[in-house]
Amino acid sequence: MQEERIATLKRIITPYVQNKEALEQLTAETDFIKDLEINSAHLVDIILDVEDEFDIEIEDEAMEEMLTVKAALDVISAKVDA
Amino acid sequence: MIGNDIVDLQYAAQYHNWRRAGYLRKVFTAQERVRIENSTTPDRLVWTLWSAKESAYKLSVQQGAARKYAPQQLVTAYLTTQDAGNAIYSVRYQGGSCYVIVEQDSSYIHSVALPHSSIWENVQIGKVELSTDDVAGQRSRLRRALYSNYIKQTRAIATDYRIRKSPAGIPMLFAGEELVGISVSLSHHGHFGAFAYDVVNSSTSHVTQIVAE
Repeated sequence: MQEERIATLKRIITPYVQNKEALEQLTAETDFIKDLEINSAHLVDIILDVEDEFDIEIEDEAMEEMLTVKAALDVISAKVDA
Repeated sequence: MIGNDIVDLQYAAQYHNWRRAGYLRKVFTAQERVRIENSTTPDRLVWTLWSAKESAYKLSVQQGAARKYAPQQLVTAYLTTQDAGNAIYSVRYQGGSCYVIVEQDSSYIHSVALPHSSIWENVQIGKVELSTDDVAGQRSRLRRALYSNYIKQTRAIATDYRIRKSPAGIPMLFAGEELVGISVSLSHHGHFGAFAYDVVNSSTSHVTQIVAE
């Protein structure tokens, strides 16, 4: 299920990624801004896309942490698997 | 310590849909949203406030704040407009506040965040129009513009300059292997790049971070 979620997340972030090479080597540790060079104004889009895709609501406290793939997966599982 | 952020307005209009449901609420405070709703130029105001927040965030990270994504916790307040047309904002955030100068051009918005207004005279800024769509090429052009500006301003003997980033993502200027102790901020959006640096006030926290790397 985790792999499926990583694949879904990868599909969501792909349009916003500037460093396509880093996207090919995506791991849990990948940082959206530092590694993928996603513009921070697009991080809001990613968070809204994740909300729509998984039908969840991400509060500001959870959003704060969402700088890496792992952090995003943790937020998703805390909501969906609760 | 310094932060800067540039927004390419044409690029923003094309690729950032702030009118999307939920977008404004995740980025702006209730008061900021009221200002945007009442504005006759909401696009400009959205990107002005965004860029003020982003520059303040970069400054806060240089001051040692943890990295996080919480734009609504950076609270902007409009102070005044200078004779030259630049808007001055203050931005409050957890653990501090800063002073932000916002240049509002017809094609871009550029913000520079400083801990105090008094150090403005020590600050050098530069903007570059980046014609290429290749992000790596844009990055290297922006960096080259910074190096040549630095060489010109400090009359430094031209040497092998390069930018390295600390683990927190803070850019640091090196001459060869030697750290040049100045605070630097880089920004890139669409077809614009911008840099800002403070020639006087260096940051010792940078030095510890690079040693630890």
